[in-house]
Amino acid sequence: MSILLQPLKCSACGAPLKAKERDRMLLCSHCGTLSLVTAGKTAPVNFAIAAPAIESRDALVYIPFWIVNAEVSVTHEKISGGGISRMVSGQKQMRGVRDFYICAADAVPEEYARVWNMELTLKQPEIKTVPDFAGSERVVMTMEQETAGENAEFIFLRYEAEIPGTLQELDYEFRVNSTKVLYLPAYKKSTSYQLGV
Amino acid sequence: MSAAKKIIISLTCPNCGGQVEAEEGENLVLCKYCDSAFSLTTDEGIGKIMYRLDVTREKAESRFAGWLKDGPKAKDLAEKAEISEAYPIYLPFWRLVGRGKACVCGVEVKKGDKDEPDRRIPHESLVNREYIYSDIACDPGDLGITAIRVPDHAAAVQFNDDAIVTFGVTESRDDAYAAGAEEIKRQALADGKRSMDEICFSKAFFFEKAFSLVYYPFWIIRYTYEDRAYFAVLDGITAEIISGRAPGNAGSQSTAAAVGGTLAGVVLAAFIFFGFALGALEAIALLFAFGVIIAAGIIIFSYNRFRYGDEILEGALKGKGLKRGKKQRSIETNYENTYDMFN
Ligand SMILES: [Zn+2]
Ligand SMILES: [Zn+2]
Repeated sequence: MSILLQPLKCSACGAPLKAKERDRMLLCSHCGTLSLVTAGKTAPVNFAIAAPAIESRDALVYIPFWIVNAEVSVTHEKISGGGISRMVSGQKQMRGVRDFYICAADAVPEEYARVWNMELTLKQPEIKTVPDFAGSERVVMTMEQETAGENAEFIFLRYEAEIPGTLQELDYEFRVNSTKVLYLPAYKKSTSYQLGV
Repeated sequence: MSAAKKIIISLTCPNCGGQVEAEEGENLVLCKYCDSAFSLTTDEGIGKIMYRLDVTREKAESRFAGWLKDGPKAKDLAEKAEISEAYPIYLPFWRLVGRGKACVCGVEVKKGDKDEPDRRIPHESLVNREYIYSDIACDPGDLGITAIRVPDHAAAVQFNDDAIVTFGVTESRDDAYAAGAEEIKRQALADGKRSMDEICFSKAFFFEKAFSLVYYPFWIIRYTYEDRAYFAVLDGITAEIISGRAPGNAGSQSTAAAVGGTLAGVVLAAFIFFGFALGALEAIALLFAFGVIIAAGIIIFSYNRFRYGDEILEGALKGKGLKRGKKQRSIETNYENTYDMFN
């Protein structure tokens, strides 16, 4: 068996890429373009950077998320109990088209990531974008694009199971329309994070 | 092996010649000297990892000697067994690490007392765990090995097949991957099912973390006892006995057969006695018939124990004999970073 190391090249200008951390998003030092590393190759990537909506004295970092735009249609659902509390508490239904937020950075502890994923997916925040990171740290992206869709589908199932009542039957269709990268601002204090949107 | 520990392969940077370290299953590799980014590919499309043989011949043989004395083996086995050969071998395994996520919904049915109807309790569960799957990638013949459990202290070295004895890989990489992913999803669903008797809805996902071909070391010890050939396989890192064949304790087995025969006779006599005590002719005939059936059962059982129980089988070995030892499981669960919900 032979192992081959093939240089990864910028998807825009072709210059060899350099990096200090194993990031799926590699920045070209020659032309400044971010390329996505997927299946051992680089590709141009659709990404945006969200502007911080709150201020803090802690360090500002940008955390990569996969934004999976998907449509959920439920044709049949049976829930045992919890029906009344579901209506009283005004639980939103996770139906129709929405953006699913999937934290794509392993460096963020799962305790934060799973809460953010659910909250952001439910809230669908208004995002104002900024053109660059303005010197703030860009957190390493570890999650591959291929798994984003199924992670989004599991968020939908998690929601259906976590809300009041015991889920019994479910027929649904989960259709992914598009996937893109969004960097969300967060404030980091040692190992704790506060989302800045 | 805990998932926190990564397997490292050492390579040379094509740009600066520095030493580059690649992690198991990772195709993005960086040089820490010149910062160059590379994609890692192999001509077979998969990373191969070899673990270092830690157990010496002396240690393997002394463990083997202890095993000969352990359990209902032939009493003079330790004295009379003669090692005909002992050698290390590396067997290839597919190893797939990843997260299994599942949502399972269903009903637990509790049987009601006499007049009460059954109680049906609805349940829902979410499973989110990391699993490690392993499956032997070659035909190991009669060695009785199906899966491995890599210990935390195992040292990975770069694969080099010049210096080792190994078997050729027979299962295709894609088939192995598909089987592993299926098995991890199946395990996530099984973990979610818990007390449910009926499943109304279930869905599972698998998210890959690493997939590799692992060469794991073993010691094979072949030995003879009363002109018959037997063997034992030891883990080359922990020295545990993985599988093996050994002659059984023939003495205690012929005792079992004799006791069985006597017991059958006693049972038959007791039935006849009770029959006469009751007096009625039909009752005597009926009880006699019953007695014969039970006695025959005891004799067949004892005979089988004698006929086939003369071998001790350790590990995943097929065939007749007394099966002992730990089961080799194809799935391990890494309980760190588990996010489950059971309602
Ligand atoms: Zn460039
Ligand atoms: Zn280098």
